[in-house]
This record gives sequence, C-alpha cells and structure tokens, in this order.
Amino acid sequence: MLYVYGIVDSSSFETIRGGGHDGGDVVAVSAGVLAAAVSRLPACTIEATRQSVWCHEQVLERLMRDHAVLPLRFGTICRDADALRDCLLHSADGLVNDLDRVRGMVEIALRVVEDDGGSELPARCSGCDRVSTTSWHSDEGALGSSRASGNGVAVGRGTAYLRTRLQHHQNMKTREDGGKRLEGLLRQHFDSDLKELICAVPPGESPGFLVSCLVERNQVASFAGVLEQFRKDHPQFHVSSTGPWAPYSFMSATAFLGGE
Amino acid sequence: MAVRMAHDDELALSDLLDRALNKGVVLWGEATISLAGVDLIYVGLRVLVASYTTMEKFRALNRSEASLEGDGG
Repeated sequence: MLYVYGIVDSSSFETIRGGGHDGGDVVAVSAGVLAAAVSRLPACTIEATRQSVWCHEQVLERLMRDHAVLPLRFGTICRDADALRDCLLHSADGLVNDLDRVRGMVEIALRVVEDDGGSELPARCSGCDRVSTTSWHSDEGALGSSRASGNGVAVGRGTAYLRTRLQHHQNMKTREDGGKRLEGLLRQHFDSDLKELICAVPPGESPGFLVSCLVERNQVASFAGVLEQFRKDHPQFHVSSTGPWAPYSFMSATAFLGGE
Repeated sequence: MAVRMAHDDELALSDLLDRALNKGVVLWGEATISLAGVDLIYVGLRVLVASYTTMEKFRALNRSEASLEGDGG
C-alpha cells in the first residue's frame, strides 16, 4: 500500500529519506507534469496519532520548500502506483490550476473570540435598524417538555420544540452574520498582506470563529506584525494564531479526485 | 518554514487536526482510509468520508444492515 501525502508541481523530486511514516522514504509517483508524494505502508490502515499527523504535515512542509504542493487529507492510502497515477492524470487540469493558486503560499490559522465570552460582533436585528448583541449560548432549555410562553401560558411539546429550533436557527444566523463582519474587518486590516481568507463558524457550541488565511510564504513575518497591530487596534478580540501550515483550506472544487 | 507562529502545542495540534483530517484534497477510488486504528470506510464504494462523525454514521448503518441480514437469514 502507498500512503499519499500530497501532489507536487513536478514530475519528480528528491527522495526524502526516512521522512515518511514508520521511517519510510517519501518518493514521487509521476503522473505527467505532476507527481504524488508517497511512502510505503506495511498495513492498509494508519492511525491518526499526534506523531502520524505531524509526520504528514512535515512531509508537506519539506516539499513546499521547493515546490507548489496540494496537501491530501490525512489517511489517504492507495493500493498501488498505477491506480494513483490514473487518478491524477484524470484530474490533471484542475490540479495544475490549484497548484498555480497555492504556489509559494502557506496557510495561517486564526481563532478569534470576543473577550466578553461571547462570539458575535454586534448584529443587526433583521428587519430593523436597531443594533443588538446576541449572547453566544442560547437558552434552549429541555426539548420535548412543556415550557411557559412569554405570557405564562404553558405550550405543548411541539411548539416548544419548534421555538427551540427557531432560536437555534436565529443564533446560527447571528453567528454567521458576525463571521461576515469579522471577515470584512480582517480583510480591511490585512489588505494586501493576505491573498485569501476564509472565516468559518466552528461546529457545535464552540465559541469564536475559525479563520484561515492564505499568505505568501515570504510574507509570514510581515503578516505576524500586522496581526499584532490588529490585536492592539481591536482589544475586544482575543486572537490566537498557529502555522504556517500547508494550504489545506484552499483547495478548489477539484478537491475530490476520482478514477472515473 | 522560516517563521513558526504556533504558540500552544495543543492549540497547534488542534488546528492541524482540523485541517489534516477534514480538509485538503480527497483521493477516492480503491483506497482505504483509517482513523484511530479503525477502518473508516472502504472508499472503493465511492463514498466520500468527510469527517469522523460521517464515518460513524456509515459504520452504524453497516452494522444495522448486517444485523438485519443475520436476522433474516
């Protein structure tokens, strides 16, 4: 079995001795003008441990020193080189476009949370001009039980459920609106220091927003400086950053490769 | 990389896991993807595994289908 780390913009690259999982060599499987970076796996599965995931990332970072790289999702295993090559050749045009897009780029991850423990920027009440803030955690109460309505009259389970769902939907909309405002604020602040930005609401009840920034590799230090200035200019936000990473978040619609 | 902005190790690991496990290019065909030592799904079925949650749904479905076949057999 072959473990696949990523796709590079060259038909070959220098073997990374011992850099792969279980100390395996990372080699190129050529497919036209592209190549997949692979290493042999004794088994057909791999565990997602701290070590193995970091190994995956470190292989990509090593390749990114000299090539544009499309990172594959962790755990991608192919039965043999021929199958892998066929898959890449089938999607070569889209892959080349994606490689052009991320050449020389890295991803910086940001987590942005308001200091008061909420996560929203001031949101406009839909249908009116009044500005209001919405608490992050909704007061949903127990589903399926009778709840008192605003005037003290008991409501049935169905009504309570629907109201809870409506509140959840409104909360999600508020979160999304806040995310759009944060995205606009970040774009305005960073301006030319980043190429692309994605602002997402984390799943579940996790507070804050998850931001992915596509930055030129030689501009990372400058980006860090601008980020520090953003923190000073907007003390209401707590911003944590990690990276640089391979550009996982900036794959296009050609992210799904199929053999046929 | 010339500059590493990673601060807290656990935070960096969390961000890496979010990306490596949920994002990036997905290769599908005749491949097996595993997570935490457990086969997620045989991608030869042409079903894309997007996340661990999705994987669990498919596993539960497979178990229930296998159970029904056993009962009916």
